[in-house]
Amino acid sequence: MNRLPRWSLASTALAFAGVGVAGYLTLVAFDQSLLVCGLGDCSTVQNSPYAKIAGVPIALLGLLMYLALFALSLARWRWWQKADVLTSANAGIALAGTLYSAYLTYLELFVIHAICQWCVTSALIVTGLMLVEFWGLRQLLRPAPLSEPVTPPPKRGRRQQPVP
Amino acid sequence: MNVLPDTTLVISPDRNVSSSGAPRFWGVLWYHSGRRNGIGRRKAWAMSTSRELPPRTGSRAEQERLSRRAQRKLEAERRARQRRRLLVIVPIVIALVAVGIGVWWNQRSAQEVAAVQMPDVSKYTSVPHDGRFLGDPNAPVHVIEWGDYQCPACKSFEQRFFPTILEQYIATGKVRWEFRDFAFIGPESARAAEAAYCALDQGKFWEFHAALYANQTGENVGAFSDRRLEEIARVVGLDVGQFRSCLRDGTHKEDVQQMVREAQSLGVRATPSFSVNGSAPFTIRSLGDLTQRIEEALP
Repeated sequence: MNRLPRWSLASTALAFAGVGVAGYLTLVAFDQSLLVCGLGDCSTVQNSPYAKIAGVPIALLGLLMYLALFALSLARWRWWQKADVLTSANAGIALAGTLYSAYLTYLELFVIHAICQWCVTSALIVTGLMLVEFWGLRQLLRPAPLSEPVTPPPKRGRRQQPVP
Repeated sequence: MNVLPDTTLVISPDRNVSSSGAPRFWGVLWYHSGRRNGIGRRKAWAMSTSRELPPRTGSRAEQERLSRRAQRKLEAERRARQRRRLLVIVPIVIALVAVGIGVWWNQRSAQEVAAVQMPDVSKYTSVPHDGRFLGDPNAPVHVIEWGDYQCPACKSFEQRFFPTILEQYIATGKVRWEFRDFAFIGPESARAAEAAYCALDQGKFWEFHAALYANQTGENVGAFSDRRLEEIARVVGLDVGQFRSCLRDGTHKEDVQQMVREAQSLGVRATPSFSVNGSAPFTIRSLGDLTQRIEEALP
């Protein structure tokens, strides 16, 4: 097997880190014993009305996003011939995640007036993932140079040659 | 690639067909005449206008074969280009649409401010209450709670655990409970604390206190705007005119700020914080943390 490009390894590592951060935030979101409101704490952010969409914590949506990114990047390792489609999907998911994180960070700064350091970490991770995925997509979609010699079809073994 | 397109007209009437196999001036008519291979005029026209090139023989056939391969290559390149474009555009468009829907949905669910509700306050009024105090003034244990009306943990404590404390310790005369403001989450926290002071002026602090928590919808999202605080005052049964002027004039603004400063100097950093018989403020992770401290302080 050919060596995988470094950007795909970086993408998998970032997605794994994202699963960790979002997993922690999801645990906190569901932690019923949460009984403290601290200054500049994630609990202030996570207990705000913006922390949920239709009753589902945004942290859980983030976890699902990172799991999808992680799974797709593992699938890309396995089925490299489909790398362009998988990278395209990953780039789209990471772009959506980045834009939504930007919106959430805006809410933290200007509406909720509290900064959750874990949420900021997640925003940075997903932004990095987006950059890596689009970089990878650019690499994969770069058209083959015209001067490239056409590779001949693989020669068949002797057994498959027609009998004279 | 030196193969001209099939129907290109080249004015050079030497021969009907150029060396590349493309028809020349008169050759255009000849080309479509159907006399070339005896295949008939109609079929020849159809073949010459279709994407497929007509079959040839000899060296011309070789040229045509090359032409077909070139066409296929062009077609493949065109498809590849289109695919590359789709692989970039489709995820961007889907991402933008998804984010738009997500933001809209999030805003809608956050802005839904529920109608003002009046909770059951009988549990407060059934025990001796005086201003910010609940319970027997001669109780052996004095507990102070610092809270913020916008703090979800305070609401959770108030609604899930405080009834137990009230029943087991306050109603039985073991504990005298005091609520103090530690309004730190935002402007609406201070406004709600001032409003509770105004309700205290009218002798309905605990009713208003319970109603504030019952109508907490989020932090600095209009849950405790002046208009909504007035609505809460009306539901609680206060004199709304008096309440409005108390709130508008900022009668208790300084009182709230003073209370917050005091709490900070005592070491309160989060809400809800508690102090039992003058102990240093502490936070709890479960009801047991608090009842243990109370039990220890009981004679």
